[in-house]
Amino acid sequence: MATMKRGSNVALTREIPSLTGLVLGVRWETGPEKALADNLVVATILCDEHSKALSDEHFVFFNQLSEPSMTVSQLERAMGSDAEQVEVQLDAVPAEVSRIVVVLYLNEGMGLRRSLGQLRECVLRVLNSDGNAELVRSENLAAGLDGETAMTLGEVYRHQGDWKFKVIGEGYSTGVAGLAKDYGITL
Amino acid sequence: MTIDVFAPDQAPARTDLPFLRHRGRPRPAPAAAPPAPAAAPPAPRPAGLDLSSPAPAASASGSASLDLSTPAPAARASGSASLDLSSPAPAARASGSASLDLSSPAPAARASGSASLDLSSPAPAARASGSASLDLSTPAPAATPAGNPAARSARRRPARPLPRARSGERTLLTPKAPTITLTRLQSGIGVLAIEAACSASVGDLRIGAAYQLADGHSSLVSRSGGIAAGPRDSRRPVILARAEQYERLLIDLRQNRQLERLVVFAFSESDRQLNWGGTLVTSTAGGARVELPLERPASAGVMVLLSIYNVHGEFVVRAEMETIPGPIRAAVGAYGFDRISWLDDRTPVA
Repeated sequence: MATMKRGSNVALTREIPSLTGLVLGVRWETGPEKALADNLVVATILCDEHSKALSDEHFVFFNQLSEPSMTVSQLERAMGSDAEQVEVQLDAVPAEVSRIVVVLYLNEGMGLRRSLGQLRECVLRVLNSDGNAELVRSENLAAGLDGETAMTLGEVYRHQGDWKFKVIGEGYSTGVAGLAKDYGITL
Repeated sequence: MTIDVFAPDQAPARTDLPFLRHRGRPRPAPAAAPPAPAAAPPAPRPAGLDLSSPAPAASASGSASLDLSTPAPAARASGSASLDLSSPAPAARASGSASLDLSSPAPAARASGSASLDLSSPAPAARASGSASLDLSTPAPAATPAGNPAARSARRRPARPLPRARSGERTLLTPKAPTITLTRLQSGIGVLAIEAACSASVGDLRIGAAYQLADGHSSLVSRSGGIAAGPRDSRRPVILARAEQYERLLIDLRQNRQLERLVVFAFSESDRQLNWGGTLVTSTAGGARVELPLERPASAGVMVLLSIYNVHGEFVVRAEMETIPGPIRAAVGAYGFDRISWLDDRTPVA
């Protein structure tokens, strides 16, 4: 079980040629902070080669559990100890999808001021969907966060005919609005 | 009540699906129709009043009086009075459908003054009952969208091209375009804020909402009623009632799957007449603004302003603008919120 630091990457399909599907699992530890856990949202954005979402329908989250090609789907109820899981059918992802980015944000507006800095732990895991074996996991991405309200956790992307996985762990102080702006999504 | 599946016209009307009542294709009104409304005062729901004063109605136009005398069951069979609740006011039903029904050519013989006899007596009773008056107050907007050619052609198109709210822009809800559908992102990110931007000249206007959750819980939120959260004692409310410059409601879209439907209503804190005015503004996290002008003749009672239905994750926002001359309990009851237990006419138990 390999732990990857921010910025590091791994060639998934080159290492495991038989890999046809992934599960991207996000787990977090919020401690006693219930309001924080209640408002965390995991979303997956299917992007083109310019790292822009193909459309608003390519933003997969709890209120849009899949996208038009149905190759990336969020589970309504994650299995095991992950808080959220997203299944990616790697061998069927349309060619125009270059990147599959996993993000985390806090749903805001009900008057409870929270930030991702209150997270004790946040880890993105990559599992082989055939057998659910964990392939790699990120380091604890909660470390070093402060007032951020959104974060890009990591991405699965095409590189020279292979799929690679990269840990990103970049926070946004502007929340989901900042994420949406960067990825060209209309909220 | 037993339901005979072979006699759908006898079936009690569904009150829990208010959007269905606008789906019927209205019958074209004949040329004779206009005099009847013209004889009435300009108030939007003259029918009930009109009937109680028999002489003008009878003299105004032959066909109008014909129709009013049509017995209530016939009126219902024509399918126009969709809304009409199983309420105990036959007169109300007949009159509610009158405007649509005029095209049904009733024999002249029936005109003979029976209308005045028939209808004048039950009318006051009808007005007294909150649910019956729902029928009378069915506003013009209900009928117009279906009759509008644009709406009709829209219906022929596949269901998808719906009116959408654009982020960062404002959309006006009008009688001809009363509905807008939020996208899955607009319905699932941040909060949906509903604010009554009304000046003091309107009166002591307050807003509230009746809601129904996926787990079956149904109740009200209303700051003036002392219920600032829905569910009231929840650690994690789905809806909050707040007041800043104006009264506002906040819906937590992280929990949007919990919310099945909601109607927003306005009323006078002191039960006085309100000089309707101002705008109800519904805004999304992305800055889409859906504006509903609250322009109506001054009236007392409760006005149901807006409904929101969660249709598979997309919020359908609809202007209702229906004045209901009765307490909050009657107003939300008319929208099918029949699972609320009441402490009094404006306060739920839980």
